[in-house]
Amino acid sequence: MSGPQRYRSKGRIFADILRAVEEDGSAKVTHILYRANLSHDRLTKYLGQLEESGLVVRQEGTTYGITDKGRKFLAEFRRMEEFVEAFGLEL
Amino acid sequence: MFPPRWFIPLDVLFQLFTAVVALGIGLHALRGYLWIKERILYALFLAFMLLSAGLFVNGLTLAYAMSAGLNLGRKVALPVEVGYWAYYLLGILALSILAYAYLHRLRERNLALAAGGAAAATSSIVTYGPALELALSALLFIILAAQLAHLQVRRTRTAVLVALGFFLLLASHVLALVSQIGDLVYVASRVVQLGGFLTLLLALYHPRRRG
Repeated sequence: MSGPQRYRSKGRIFADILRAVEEDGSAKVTHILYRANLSHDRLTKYLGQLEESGLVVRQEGTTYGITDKGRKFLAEFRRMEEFVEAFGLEL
Repeated sequence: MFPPRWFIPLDVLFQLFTAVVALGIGLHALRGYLWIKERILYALFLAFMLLSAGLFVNGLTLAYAMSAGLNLGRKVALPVEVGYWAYYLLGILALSILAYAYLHRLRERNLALAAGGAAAATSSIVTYGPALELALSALLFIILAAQLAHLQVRRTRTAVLVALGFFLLLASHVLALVSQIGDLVYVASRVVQLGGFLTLLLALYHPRRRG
């Protein structure tokens, strides 16, 4: 039984999607849906934004890959997550 | 609250160096904000930039007083008065933002509320000095209490360093409050203040080293 859903900021949702894509180098939408815990509509919207920002790249059909900029975003997110958490706060 | 005459040149250096350290922390948060656009990072950036600005203004005020040969603690010139006010108001505003972030985690609320709270708190204070020092100490106490509560849940090395940093900052303001006891107490307050900011800076670079 899971508890109440935690608020996720846009940055965290981006990071969750990028983590799902990064795991295997590339990922299908269905895999990202499951890993990032998003509805299909919301995921489509966010994938469009990520692609527009150059963080992911569409490879073939419904498969997405992470770009160098995406990896850098993820590294920065992890670093900031730890930094903010040290302050007793959260992203 | 005023430095002993012999310590003023060193105090200027202490304040300016501490301002640079606070600026470093603020810029680190800004870098993160520019990447991931999280409001909490903007709040940290804003708070440390304001702290840095206050320390910088205080350093310049002391430098002005020193160069003009003013006797601090007696009737002071207008620029010095303005400088001290700016130092305390910027500090209170910065710590209000931090305290607000701790208490509300910046979810649905507005940063402007923090500024409003700070303005309301300071508008009731008639003069700079002990009252403002007390206000700064109270805000730091809230922040430290929140950080200690966080430590109960998650005790990482960085979280301990942050708690230590805030503790040192609180101690520096308490020492400043009782600095009439002796010159060395004032000196100690400045050393402890610098130690507090350096500890926060160390906490900041600790995750980076592992990252």
